[in-house]
Amino acid sequence: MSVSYRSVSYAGIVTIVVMTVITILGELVPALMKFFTYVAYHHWVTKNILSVVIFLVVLALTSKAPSTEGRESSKGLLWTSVTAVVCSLALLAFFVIDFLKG
Amino acid sequence: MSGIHLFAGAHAFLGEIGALCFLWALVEIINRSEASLARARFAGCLGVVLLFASLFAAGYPYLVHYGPLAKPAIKAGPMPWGHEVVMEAKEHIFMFIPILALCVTISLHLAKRDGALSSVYRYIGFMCGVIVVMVFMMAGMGFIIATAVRVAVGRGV
Repeated sequence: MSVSYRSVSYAGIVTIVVMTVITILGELVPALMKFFTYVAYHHWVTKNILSVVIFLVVLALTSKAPSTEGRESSKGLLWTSVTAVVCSLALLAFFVIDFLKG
Repeated sequence: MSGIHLFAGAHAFLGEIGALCFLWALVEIINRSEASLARARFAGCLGVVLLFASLFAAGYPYLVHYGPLAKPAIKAGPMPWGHEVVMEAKEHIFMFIPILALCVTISLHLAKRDGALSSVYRYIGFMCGVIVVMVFMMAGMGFIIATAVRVAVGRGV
């Protein structure tokens, strides 16, 4: 297993995007929220455990691929940061719209 | 001091010290040399531990106090958006921060083989900056939530 910038970037991006999607879906689909609550007492606990598990699994899976390190590969770290900012704004916008809709 | 206050205080304290670790790592990356990058790696490791500790410390007051007591008070008070928007966004955006911290720390260790002149440090430094801004945004949101509780329970006290 060889961890590379690319595998770290993939793990970060996939984790952040999946957490954003399941958070929004959880708000829209009560059954999904109930499931998250059922798994670990509270949806927030389940999501936190899930985020670490997804990160580690994606990191392990992508670290199996042959590493082609270089400037292009390390640029993925920039995209990880951009993804975090965009997903944070998406979540904020979702909760603002949800509140305004009542 | 009750357990709730201890854990809530620890959550904020550990989170802010964790953010300062990444600010420290950013400064070391900007003025980089082999010695400063070794300090940046140490700051990154320490920051990861502190941010995960902050996440754990948040669990107890959030599950035991906030959900059953503070949340209904905020929703019934004059600032219901303190929960509906600010807390909902905070509790979910916070999950991204330890993940970013892990990415920074792993990348700092990977970059050791590339030397101090590697361009990867620009991207790692940017990520450190994003972590610092996000953590201090969490602190600001925490202040808004605390204010929402105060105006709901004590009408501004």
